[in-house]
Amino acid sequence: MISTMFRKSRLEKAGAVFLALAIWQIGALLLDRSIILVTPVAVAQRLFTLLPESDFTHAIAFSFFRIVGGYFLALLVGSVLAVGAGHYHGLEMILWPYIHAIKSVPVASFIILCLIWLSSDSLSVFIAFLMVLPIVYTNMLQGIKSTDEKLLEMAEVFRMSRLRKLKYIHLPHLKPYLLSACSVSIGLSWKAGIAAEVIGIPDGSIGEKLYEAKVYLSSADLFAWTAVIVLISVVFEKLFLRGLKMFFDRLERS
Amino acid sequence: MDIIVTELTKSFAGHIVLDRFSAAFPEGEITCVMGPSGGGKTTFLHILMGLMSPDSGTIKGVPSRKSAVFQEDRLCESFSALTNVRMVLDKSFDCGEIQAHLDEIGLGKDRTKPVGEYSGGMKRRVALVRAVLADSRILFLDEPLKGLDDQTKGHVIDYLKKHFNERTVIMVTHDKEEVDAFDARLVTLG
Repeated sequence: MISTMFRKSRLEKAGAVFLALAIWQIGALLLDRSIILVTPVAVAQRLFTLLPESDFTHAIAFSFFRIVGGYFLALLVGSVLAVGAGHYHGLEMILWPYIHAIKSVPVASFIILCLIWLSSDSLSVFIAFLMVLPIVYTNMLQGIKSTDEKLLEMAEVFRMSRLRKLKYIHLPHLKPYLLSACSVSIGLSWKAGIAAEVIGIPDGSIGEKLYEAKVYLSSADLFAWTAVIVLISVVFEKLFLRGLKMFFDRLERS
Repeated sequence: MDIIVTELTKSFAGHIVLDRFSAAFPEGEITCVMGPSGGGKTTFLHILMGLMSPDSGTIKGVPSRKSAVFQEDRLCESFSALTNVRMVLDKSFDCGEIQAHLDEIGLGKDRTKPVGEYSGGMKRRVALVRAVLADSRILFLDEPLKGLDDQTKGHVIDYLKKHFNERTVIMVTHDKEEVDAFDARLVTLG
């Protein structure tokens, strides 16, 4: 029953995507100006011509490792800070202005500021880190604060070790908070990271390719690279979240 | 060593819950604590367990190796009954013995299911097995038979009497029949 519903939902989504592509194709054909709106067929053709170019994989690798590196760094730092802030109210208060400043300052301001501080090569690492950090920190802190005190009392009476408390009480409780933070922030890290590259234009990055597409008014290139970004972001998100869920499933079965 | 409680007082926001309560709990015996609802029985157990401090009074002789069945089951709901019991035991503890206890208390076929899927009575029994198997010199039981039907209650009383193993037991109950069923001493509170 559930698998049938799941299959039906996927079919519906595939149908919606097909319809959107058809509307795009018809719209572009009616407009008949490829600089303003290129057809999806032309984008696909451009994508296939990009694939064999050595620049293509190099640009993907360049941006991928930097953005994903920033993402994982934020995951680590955000979690550690949340654990500290969850236990020490003073630390939470000290971090409060920084976290709120990062949340509310426009990403473009950070990018320009970082261009003054850092080389353009490492810009996307830092921007992805900055965008993900408050989401991870806030979600994890909320999770840590809502840990069931009664289970912690039970652990105290039975003299459970810190490691066991982490494994059996804290991690299972933090699971939904961590999954939600990761799910929300992966797409954001890619959007902010690529925006930083477009402004900083580091050599050999996806951002540089987008910038060149703008300079040469090549809509096909712009759409083709955008499709690549979406694809990498979605594949990374699916794989990472699946890995995380598998980790928690194994933990619960242990 | 007997547990000696002298002049124990505890209040919450000006409301006195325990008022200069004194009692003795002999080592290796089962003592039931009875009293009206809101009379401070659970608070008293929590103070003995070290989860709460009294406003005044002294407690002597509580062993450091404790186990408990709380008023709520306090189980890790996403884990199986087997894991919930194993998580409070030494790593070297024989898994077969846990399974034998779960079988004995009627949870054998469900032992690998997450306890979140259990009924209230089944969860209670997991909490009881956890307390019984934990390495302890004293058991604190806060209404241990709560939520069990009469037939299961009888079975669980037999199980507990068999496995108390001369440990000191302090049990909160509302039911005089339970005091008799365990051949327990009675202390009245409030």
